[in-house]
Amino acid sequence: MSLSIEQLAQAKVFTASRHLEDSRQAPSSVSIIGAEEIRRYGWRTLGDVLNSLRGFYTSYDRDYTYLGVRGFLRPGDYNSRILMMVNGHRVNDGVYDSAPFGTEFPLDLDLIDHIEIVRGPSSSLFGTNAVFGVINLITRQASSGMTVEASGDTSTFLGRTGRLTANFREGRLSGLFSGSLYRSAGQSQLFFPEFAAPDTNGGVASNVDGDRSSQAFGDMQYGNLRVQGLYSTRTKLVPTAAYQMNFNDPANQTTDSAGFLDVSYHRAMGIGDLETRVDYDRYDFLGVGAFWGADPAERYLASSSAGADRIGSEATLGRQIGRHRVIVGGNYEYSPRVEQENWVAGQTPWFSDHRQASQAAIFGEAELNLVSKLSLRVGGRLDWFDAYGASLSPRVALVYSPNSRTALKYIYGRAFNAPNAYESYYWDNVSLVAPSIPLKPETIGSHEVIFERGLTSWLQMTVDGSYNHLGNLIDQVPDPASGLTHFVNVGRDRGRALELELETKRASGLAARVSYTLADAADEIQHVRLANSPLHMAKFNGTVPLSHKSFAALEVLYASSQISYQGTRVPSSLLTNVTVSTKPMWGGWAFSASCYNAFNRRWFSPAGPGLLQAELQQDGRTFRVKITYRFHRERDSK
Amino acid sequence: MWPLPKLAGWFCALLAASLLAPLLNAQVHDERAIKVAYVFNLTKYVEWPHTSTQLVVGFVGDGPMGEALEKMLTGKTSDSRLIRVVLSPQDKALEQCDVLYVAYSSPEKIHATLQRLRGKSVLTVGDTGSFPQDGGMIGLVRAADQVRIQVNLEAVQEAGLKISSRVLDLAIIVHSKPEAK
Repeated sequence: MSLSIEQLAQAKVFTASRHLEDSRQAPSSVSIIGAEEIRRYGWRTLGDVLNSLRGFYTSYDRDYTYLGVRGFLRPGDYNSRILMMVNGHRVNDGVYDSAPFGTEFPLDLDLIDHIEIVRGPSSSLFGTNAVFGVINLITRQASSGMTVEASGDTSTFLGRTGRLTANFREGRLSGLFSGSLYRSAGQSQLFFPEFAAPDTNGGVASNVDGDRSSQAFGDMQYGNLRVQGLYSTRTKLVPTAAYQMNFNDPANQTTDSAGFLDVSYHRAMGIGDLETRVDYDRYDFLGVGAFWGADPAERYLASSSAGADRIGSEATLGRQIGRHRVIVGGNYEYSPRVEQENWVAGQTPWFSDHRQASQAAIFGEAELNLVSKLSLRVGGRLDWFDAYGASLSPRVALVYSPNSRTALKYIYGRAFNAPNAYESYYWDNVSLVAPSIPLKPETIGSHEVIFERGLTSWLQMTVDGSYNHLGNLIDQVPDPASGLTHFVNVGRDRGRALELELETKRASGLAARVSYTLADAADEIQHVRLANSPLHMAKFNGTVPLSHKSFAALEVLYASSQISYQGTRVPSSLLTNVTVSTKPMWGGWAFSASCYNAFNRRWFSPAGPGLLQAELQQDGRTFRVKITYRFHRERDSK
Repeated sequence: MWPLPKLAGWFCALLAASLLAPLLNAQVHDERAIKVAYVFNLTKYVEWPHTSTQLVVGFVGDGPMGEALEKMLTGKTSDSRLIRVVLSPQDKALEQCDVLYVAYSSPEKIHATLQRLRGKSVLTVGDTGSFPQDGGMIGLVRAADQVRIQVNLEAVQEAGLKISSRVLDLAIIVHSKPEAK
């Protein structure tokens, strides 16, 4: 605001080179979810947000949340085939390559300004993990002056969250700092029919569904320099007695801690827009379980830990050449610590693996605007891992926009997913043995055709057809030699998906979208449909203003039946979520009240390997009430 | 095998070059902030036929500019008038705006709004490609890495508004397409 009009005419505007401007011009199928939408629908986790979008679905095993895309949700996979970023900083951890979608997600959703969800393989720009898509979470910018915000919510099962956020902006300096605490007692009585026997409490897990997390986030910007960091730790009690732990034992828990420090600098120069980044990442996992010894009266604790430190650097240069745009970049990462250990309490570890890892990459993409309505994008990335060698990921996209309301896109891409430390080196001889043959990266080839059209000024339609072919899939499969399971590059899957979506936004404040997804994903070797893969999904999301400052939102989600890892049929699910919310009023107070699974329907998630259960019943009807207070002081300006 | 040392060296050089470069010049801004700053400056360099103690900035349409205008302009003063931002004003409220930022994605809606406000002393601002040619008064258009200002002088004069030469010197003067007249 302090710039004069002459300065404004000279000012340079930041070109987000790998980020999106107009999603219709992007060479992929993109959805953007804003903070306002997250508030209106009462979404609690990133999994809730993704669950509302066509093509995505989630599953929860009372510990972690797993994301499925277009019919693919691999048993035993911790979301390593989706790249998750916060402000362009990679979040997938250095041991499991996992992306956190539940309460293990390290950022409070209230801090998000918007989420960019790019479907389809994007390894041509982002490297490993970007097999099915990239999810980039962009955090809020500090508003001018000084703002302090406090928020609290309470939900069913004694869930409560408290958050305090402060931000300021003074000239070229701005800062945002936030801390959140979350606790939930979880369900007090969880019944698992597989454990219905007198010596396992009749199948009832009592008060062992607790969840708690603490998070801190900071973001400071001075001109073109940005320093951001976060730290989060989350502990969940595990009531499912996974991996043959004692049933109904409060010692069974997993703790995930993640933190990063990221320094980035961007500058528009004559040669182009330069973005550079240096970062440090840390991840730690601790799993504790109680087991019976040979003597039934003897109970002992066994722990499993994993951790990684990673230092990375990256530079990208984007440049406009006439009507075309080019971006090139490079990346180098070194992990001085990648370790996994298993031990029995009080004894030396019986499994211990410590190593270092390094990787480097160069990538580039050219956007060629050949004629006024046609745009061709060609790009590729060459990744080199010290453990696995090189991987090349090309991408070609053709975008035809006859007018501002219509776009037709064809995209072909190849992506890869490098084996992670867990798949390559971990064994426990209880359920998992180490791979007998060294693992190679998985590959995916993908063809996609997207048609987007503004049917009327207020109705937008998208038709998205995709064909995905995955090879060398790293699967956790039964190993006949040991009787346990192991990871092997064995899989070959193919998936055909057709997604239809209609979306409307009216000036009155009414906004709605309805989508249908048909996803036929099959194992090409066994010629059977994949597990954890609903054939049909239908979703409705609608929000209407109730008054000048309040809104009601309705979400109805349907997923057809699935086959579990064990081969049983998991029934279809139909969920209805309702939220009523307000914008800030009475000088800064905002409220929201939500009811999830309003009709209290029984629904299940298929369970993964390592669990006795084939499917896990999910929560019935639950509620949440949330209050936010914002205090804002503007500095006087002329 | 792979020339890792060479790559590492290249990145270090690139990194060092960019970090050592002076931080003083070439500050890069957020596009939304620049557009809001333009709107704020316009309130100082445009004369409305009436005087009042407050200045109403309205926003209609889609996109992030509504929230940006509200966040950055509410409560500011311009020549001792208090700025008030109104999102999605309807009917009568449209005409009571002093400035209206039009951000519809559909050209029909833009045209309908401009037709409706013809002759009224509302300064219309838009950021779509042909906004001034379609009869809008001020266009804020992204050209490569800058936001340039375009002015449709006839539309401004038709609305009974006067615009300072300080703005006109920097602006690209645009004329309405024949159909828009």
